Amino acid sequence: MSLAKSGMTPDRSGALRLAAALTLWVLVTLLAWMIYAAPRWISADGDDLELAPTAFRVDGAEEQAEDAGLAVSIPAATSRSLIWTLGPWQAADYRFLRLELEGLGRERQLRLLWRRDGKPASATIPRSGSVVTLDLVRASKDWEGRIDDLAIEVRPLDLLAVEDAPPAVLRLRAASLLRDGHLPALAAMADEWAAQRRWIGRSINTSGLELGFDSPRPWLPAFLLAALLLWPALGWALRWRRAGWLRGGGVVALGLWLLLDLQSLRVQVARAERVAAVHGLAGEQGLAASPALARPLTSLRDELLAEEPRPVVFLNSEGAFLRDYPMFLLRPLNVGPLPKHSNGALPLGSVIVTLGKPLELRKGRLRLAGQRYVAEEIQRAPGVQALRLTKALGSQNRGRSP
Amino acid sequence: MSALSVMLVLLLPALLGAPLLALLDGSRRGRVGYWAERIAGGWLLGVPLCGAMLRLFVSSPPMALFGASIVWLLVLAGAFWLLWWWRVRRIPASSVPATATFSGWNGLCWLLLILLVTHWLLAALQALWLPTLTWDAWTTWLGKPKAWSGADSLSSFQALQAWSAAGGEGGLTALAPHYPESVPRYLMLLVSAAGGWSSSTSHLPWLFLQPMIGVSVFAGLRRIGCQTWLALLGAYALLSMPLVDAHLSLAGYLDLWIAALLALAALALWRWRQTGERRHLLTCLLFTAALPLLKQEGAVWLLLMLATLVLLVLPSRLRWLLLGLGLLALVVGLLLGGLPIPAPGLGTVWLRWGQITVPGIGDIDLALHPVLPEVFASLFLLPNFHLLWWLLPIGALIAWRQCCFDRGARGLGLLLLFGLCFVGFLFFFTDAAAWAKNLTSLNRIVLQLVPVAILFLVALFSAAGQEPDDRAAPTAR
Repeated sequence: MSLAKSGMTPDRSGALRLAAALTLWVLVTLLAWMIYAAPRWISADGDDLELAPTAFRVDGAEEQAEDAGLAVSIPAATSRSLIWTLGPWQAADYRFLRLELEGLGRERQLRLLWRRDGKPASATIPRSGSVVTLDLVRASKDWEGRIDDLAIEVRPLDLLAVEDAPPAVLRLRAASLLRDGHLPALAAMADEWAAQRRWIGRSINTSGLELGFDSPRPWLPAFLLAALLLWPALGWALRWRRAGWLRGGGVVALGLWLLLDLQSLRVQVARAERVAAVHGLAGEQGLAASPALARPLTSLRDELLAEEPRPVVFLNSEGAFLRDYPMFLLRPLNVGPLPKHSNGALPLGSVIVTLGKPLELRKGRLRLAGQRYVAEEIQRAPGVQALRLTKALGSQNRGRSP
Repeated sequence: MSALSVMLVLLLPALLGAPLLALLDGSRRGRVGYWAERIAGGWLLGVPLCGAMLRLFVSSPPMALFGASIVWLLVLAGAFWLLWWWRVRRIPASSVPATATFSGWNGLCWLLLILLVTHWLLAALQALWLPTLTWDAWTTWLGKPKAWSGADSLSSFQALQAWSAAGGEGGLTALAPHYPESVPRYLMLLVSAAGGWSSSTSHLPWLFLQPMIGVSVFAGLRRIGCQTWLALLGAYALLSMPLVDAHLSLAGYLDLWIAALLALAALALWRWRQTGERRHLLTCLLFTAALPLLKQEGAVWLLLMLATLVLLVLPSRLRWLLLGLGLLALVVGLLLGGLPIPAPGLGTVWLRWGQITVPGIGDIDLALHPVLPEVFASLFLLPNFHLLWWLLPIGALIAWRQCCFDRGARGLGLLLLFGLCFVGFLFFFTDAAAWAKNLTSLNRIVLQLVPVAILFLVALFSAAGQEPDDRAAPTAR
């Protein structure tokens, strides 16, 4: 079907009308976005606050003074480094944090920590490039009251074991707290947009993004609004008839879908880049949902699988994550939860794997599920303890009145 | 050797399923598009079928499952192919089937194809390199084959508490012992072919899932008569969903498998409505019957599809009579203390006032739960489904005439309506509201229905582009 037949042909003045319509659309859309990005319209008569890099101190890393700022040398296998400075400031005076950072690498992530009236709070820093602007009000409801201090936390990506994290030299060129205003608002919005990555924790249910701000921006309606504005603008410029409005609507919807998909693909690329970066760094055991749990549990599993006969393995833990993920790691051992109460003794030789607070052995004796046992500890790692039951001593209630 | 074995296991579903579909289709021969559709659809059907067949090998040691079963499964596939060959010999050579062709390929098609391949590459890389990260995969879908891989037999599972109460000596245990085991058994075959457990190997079927869905949907829409760009747009709309990306990247959930089989069933339904030929109805029933082999909610989709088919088959007077009788039975049943509804794959579901009893799940109390904000956020604000749920009501509103008069759109619309009613009932009136509140199962159940919604939109769009005479159905009601 030709354009003329479809009612979409512009007349002689069509080009002019189209240009006018598109210009108007761009202006209205930009205005809407500016209002949307910084809705409070606070006057910018106050001063922004420069935080001198030299005023920052470092924990869990080595500090090197540089002319242009602060260099922080993070050794390999460092679980957490902090770059911090003392306040106090009033949260109401500042809405944005602007950081200029270099050299972090893809295998580490940043988080902003602060103490609000003595209470700790935190927010993810949306790192998209070397300069980052963070909208503190949107990022966390805890940006209020008196801010005692600020810290930038640097740690390896969640999937990567601490032992596999390579060394890095992070350079802090500049840091400032900014008052409300359109330019930092737009910069924060752009950073937030560019830093979006799929967050593995909830993605299977919500295609969740990892920033996890308290007030995430509803991007989809913003895009939809822009498209709804574009549709009549084009219809007016191209003098659509009925069929043209329908086809034009279809084209705008498809264009919008493609734009959203490009953003979705960009998010996927960012996630894939990170996975690729840490996949190459991971040791023989590879990446894990929780490397801190996976490493000791995998070695314990391999040891127990080599035993003949195989022991019965009980998992002693609280909470769904601390039950289901470790249970998956230990699955070849046919692991199950430790019964809360047992009428008879558990099989001798059974292994009790405890996550979190370890079970207390008193002179090699143990009370478990209403029974008493002699047990030996066969593994202890941070957060993981494995005990083998060697002898049953009978019910815990023996000798007591009912 | 293990790489070849793994490849054989990955291709096995297509070897089993493709001749079955070709047999049902009853066509003598076809071109490339015809076989691409059969192989892709056959693979999707073949995975649960293969898993079901593996129940016959429970006495085999798990790690020897490949050696014990592969010959028999190949013999079965061979028998299907022979049956197909024997049947097509009796069909006149002139009956060349309608088939997917690539005529009308244009720039938009190339763009969509490039985007689809990019989606696949990015998801495939993550599926291969990421560890198993998803909850139900830990507890059930990958957890079971992993437990078998360390055990002596492929025996069934018992509940955690019962196992613990027995002192850990009562066989294998799992968090969800009653869930269907077709896919876990197929994954066990894959692990056995690989010679040992590895996350990457167990994620491999998810790499095949996206291209198989894409080819099936594209070829199915082409056969129905959609233009090439529209058919590709339908496949792209489905596979570009961020939630689909997430389910492919984070391999281990079966919701996309349900969506895939439901898409194929819906395509067959559309084709049946279009041509009135019984073979398409049988194909629709075959795909639908495989749904309960995947997940428990597959039984619900089976019920909804059967209800849709019954309503579509009946003359309009009988249809109203049946609806009236159904309503009456419901009222009388509730007054008498309960209405039993047989659900294939589940057992008998009892409906009582304020309560439903589902075998394997137990009693579910019915009450209105205020989850509208979460449902709205999930469908309209979060980056889960792109613009689908915005476009669906707009499309239905604009093309309401096609919705009423186009036979394909009406069939799909009815199925979609039933599906939405089910989702609404589940999350607004049962305790499943908690899973809507925390935005978990809500999105996954909706994902299962997404292909039907997309096919409905394509049907509306396709019908809107045709002249009224084109829409006349030749035989079927």
